[in-house]
Amino acid sequence: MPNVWVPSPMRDVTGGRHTVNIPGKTVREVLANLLERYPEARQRLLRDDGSLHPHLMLLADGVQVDGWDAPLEEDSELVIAAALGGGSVVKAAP
Amino acid sequence: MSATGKHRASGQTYRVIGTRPIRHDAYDKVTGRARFGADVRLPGMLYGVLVRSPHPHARIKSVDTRRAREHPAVRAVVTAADMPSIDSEAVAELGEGAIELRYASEIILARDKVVFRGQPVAAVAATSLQAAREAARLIEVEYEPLPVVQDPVAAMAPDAPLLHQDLYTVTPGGGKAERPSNVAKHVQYERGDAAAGFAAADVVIAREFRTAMVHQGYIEPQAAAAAWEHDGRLTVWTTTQGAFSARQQLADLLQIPVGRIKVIPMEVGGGFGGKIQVYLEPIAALLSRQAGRPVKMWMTRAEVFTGTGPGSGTYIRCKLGAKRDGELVAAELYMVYDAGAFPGSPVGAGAVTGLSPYRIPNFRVDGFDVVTNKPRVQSYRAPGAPQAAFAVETVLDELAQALDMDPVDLRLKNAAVEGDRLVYGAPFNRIGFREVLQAVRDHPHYKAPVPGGAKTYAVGRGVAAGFWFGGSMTSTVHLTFNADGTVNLVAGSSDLSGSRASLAMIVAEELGLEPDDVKPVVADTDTVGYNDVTGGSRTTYATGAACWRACQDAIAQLKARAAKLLEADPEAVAFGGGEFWLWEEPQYRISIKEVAASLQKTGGPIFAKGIVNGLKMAPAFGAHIVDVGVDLETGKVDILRYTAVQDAGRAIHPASVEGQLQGGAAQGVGWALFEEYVYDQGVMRNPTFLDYRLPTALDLPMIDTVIVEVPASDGPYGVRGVGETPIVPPLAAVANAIARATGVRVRELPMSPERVWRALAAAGRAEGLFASHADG
Amino acid sequence: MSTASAGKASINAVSAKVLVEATVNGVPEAFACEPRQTLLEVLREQLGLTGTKEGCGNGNCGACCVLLDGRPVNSCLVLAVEAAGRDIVTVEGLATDGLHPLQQAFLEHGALQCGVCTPGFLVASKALLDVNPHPTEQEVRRWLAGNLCRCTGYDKIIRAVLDAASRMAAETRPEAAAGLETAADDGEVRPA
Repeated sequence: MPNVWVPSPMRDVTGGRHTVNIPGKTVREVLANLLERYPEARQRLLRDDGSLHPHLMLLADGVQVDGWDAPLEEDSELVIAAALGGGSVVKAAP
Repeated sequence: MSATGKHRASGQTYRVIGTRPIRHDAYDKVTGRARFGADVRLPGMLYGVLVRSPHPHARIKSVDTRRAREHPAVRAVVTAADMPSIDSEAVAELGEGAIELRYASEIILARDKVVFRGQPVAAVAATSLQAAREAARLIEVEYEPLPVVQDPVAAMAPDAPLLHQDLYTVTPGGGKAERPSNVAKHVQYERGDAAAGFAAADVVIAREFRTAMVHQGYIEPQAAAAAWEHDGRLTVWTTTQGAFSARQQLADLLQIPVGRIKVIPMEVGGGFGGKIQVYLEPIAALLSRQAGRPVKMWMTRAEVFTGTGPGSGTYIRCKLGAKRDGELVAAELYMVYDAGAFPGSPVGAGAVTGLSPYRIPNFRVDGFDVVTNKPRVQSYRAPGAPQAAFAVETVLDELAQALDMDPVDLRLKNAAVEGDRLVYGAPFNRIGFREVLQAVRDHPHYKAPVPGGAKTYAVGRGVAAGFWFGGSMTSTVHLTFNADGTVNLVAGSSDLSGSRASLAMIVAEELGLEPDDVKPVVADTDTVGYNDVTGGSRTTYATGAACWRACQDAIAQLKARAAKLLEADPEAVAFGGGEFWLWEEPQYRISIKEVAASLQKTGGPIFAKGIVNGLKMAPAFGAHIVDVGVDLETGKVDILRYTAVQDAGRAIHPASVEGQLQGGAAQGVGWALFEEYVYDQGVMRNPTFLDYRLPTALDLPMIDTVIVEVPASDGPYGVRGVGETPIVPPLAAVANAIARATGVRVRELPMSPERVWRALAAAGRAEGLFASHADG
Repeated sequence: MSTASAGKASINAVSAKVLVEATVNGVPEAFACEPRQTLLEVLREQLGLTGTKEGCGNGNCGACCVLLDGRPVNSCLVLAVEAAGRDIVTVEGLATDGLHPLQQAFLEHGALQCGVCTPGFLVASKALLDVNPHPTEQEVRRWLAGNLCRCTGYDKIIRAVLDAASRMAAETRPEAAAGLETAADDGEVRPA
């Protein structure tokens, strides 16, 4: 099942672990299952309207994902990381 | 004369890729025909001029435009009252982007308060430039000055003057601080146990660094023209790294639908990250709407310095720990990045790029985005990375000295390889860092003895490395075919340095044509599909991949036409080298040009498209070698020899890659030695090219280049974007060379003669009459 | 040739226009301008010669370099009225019978990226080769130190100028060209 990397400041939620294996076939499913397992992560990851906190970004197998329906494989890796941001008002190119 | 540089080709050979045709845009640029931002001339055109705040921090008490409006040549006057206010509900809907949008609006025209000197407060349009300037002086603005904070570290103090009463630090966990401050954001990355790592290290070195705020220094000032038609359509001509981004910003700021706006990208006279944010475009539009005539505006150089977005100044503490054999075991970075007047420094990228090149099991990185009364920063080539590399690569050099190791060997021992993880957790895909370092070690420059100095002139050699992520984002291109077999390549990526040629070469390679057969254009926002900005070293990589895909689409369509002409099934047709033939009977063949000439007879025109919406990162690593001479009497540093080595994945147009390496190195040398916003109470004291000194031809030697080719994991040919990386290593490379020459470390940029001389004198290394007056 | 009415006492306001006649790229031109307008502004905004660029407006970047009676000047520092009766060459006037060898060399060496400094470099380089047909690398660097380029690091520009000099020498004195590339780099500028 996909391997999820959580950002450093969220490790208190995952019992100090960098990575957790979470089932799911899409980014959306994996995030939903992650929040089911670690309900305290919700307010760290999502805003009230359910969208990703703007200070975070998602990388699925090395590609930044905008749409949560992006498919994940059994051996996929989903990295949740602090957005690099900055530099311009538009989505800056990392 | 032969071209500079070595080109380490790998594996497969290509017919067009890797050659050096004359660039498609070059003829117009050497004859003066190329049309840049300020070259627009429209019937009935007016000239727009801004009124800017003389105060770095002040409340605006009143703006009186009456006398300007009475000027006979004036046709329009605007203030923030003419800008749609970005209301709070819109903010809630659009998230961070909308919050930044509010700031962007303030940067364009201040509403109630100015937070940096040079912030616009009003604008006029008149029938001549001179009249517009005259009228601008008639606008009376009353200010109530407020306390100023210009240093980002001082701005973090609890009692520092607050720029924004509603700015609360976003904490690493995504929460908000309880009290407002000038710290917009705190980012944090951690792995392993840094304290335990340092305890286990044999050598630990901790140092402090400061880098000055610097400017991209593009030679073409911002320029834009706008025509707001009576039916509500807005056309904008501008020098921009991204026409679609400019269009979206205009739509958001002016609150009109994107479909009403057409942005026509002009040639861009240098951007380096600084021509993404709009400044003049919305104002020219508002003036045009009021006047009912087109309005052109461009900035003076002083306006460019004080009113656009420079690169962050920084304060960085870096601590590295290593075993006796050079293995890095622990690292700590504490980074403060100056955002200028509104949040948004590239501290995040700095925090990630600083340590990611090396395998370090235990680290902690804390980064702070801090506002000050200076212009809001923008991206500058590898935004955030050069400052971080200056700190890390300098401490690495000191570690190498402490361990008595060769500095390249120390880096090789710790260099990241595919699968090693960046600071934020994602793994590197295929990278060529080790290959780059090996190329440095093998280079004649690195092997040559360091030239001898003299009693008052010390010579030394420095090396440093760096990388940039190599982004993708979204690109769209179209191909259409002309009856003579030439191809129109319609792209939407602004061409900053020759990308049209690289894209055309990819099309020529795939279709078996000559580069000249492909006519690349950078189209306006009505003509081509959506494209993200040219930035982040993504254009040759991602738009190149879009070109490759468009070619595959074209070949599939052309195959069907070739099949008709060859009287065979499409499946029976093969393609290669510009020819279609039958698999079974290869003597039946027809060239792509013949197929193109017969399109009307075989079913009509062909339209091929290529879309890229996310490739894997293609990080590009580089390492630079520099020999410097230091005048021990004056502190002046000469660049004696320079070699830039970089992984380009696959060099499409090697001369263009060399140009990127040379230009990036030159900018980095300027950052290291000369360039600096000199501030005094929030007032920039050197807003000219005389006093803000870019490197000249006299300051640099020829810059040797080595292109290493380790193919990227994704995209065609293994190509990597190369533009950002070359500015990352030079800061530390020059500092390391100075240290190796003199034994004195300078950890503050720029390493101006005065600063170097003072450091030499403090260490007893200065020569000459005043050498013993270090503090004089 | 008339010096227009630049000195007439009737001008009592900076915005009153005066007629200026000058030769621009070999063609006689007449234009009305305000005494406070720079030659750069008039070239670009009135004569439509936008090949000459404004990079700084105060003589520090060289992007607006034109030849005034054969000498390179920053046209942002010249008032348009000062051009009266004089001969102006801009980048648009370099190519006469095909491209100038400097233009050709810039193309072939890839001696440009964004291209906005290129017109100034070409005009300044022409002025150099007019007075010093066989410059050394150091002489080229010193002559062009008043022209800023932010993209290239100057490497390819210097090579292109040296190459153009070599080609022009080969055209006029084929035997002189051979020794050029090994010419001693004495770091001195020959007097104009």
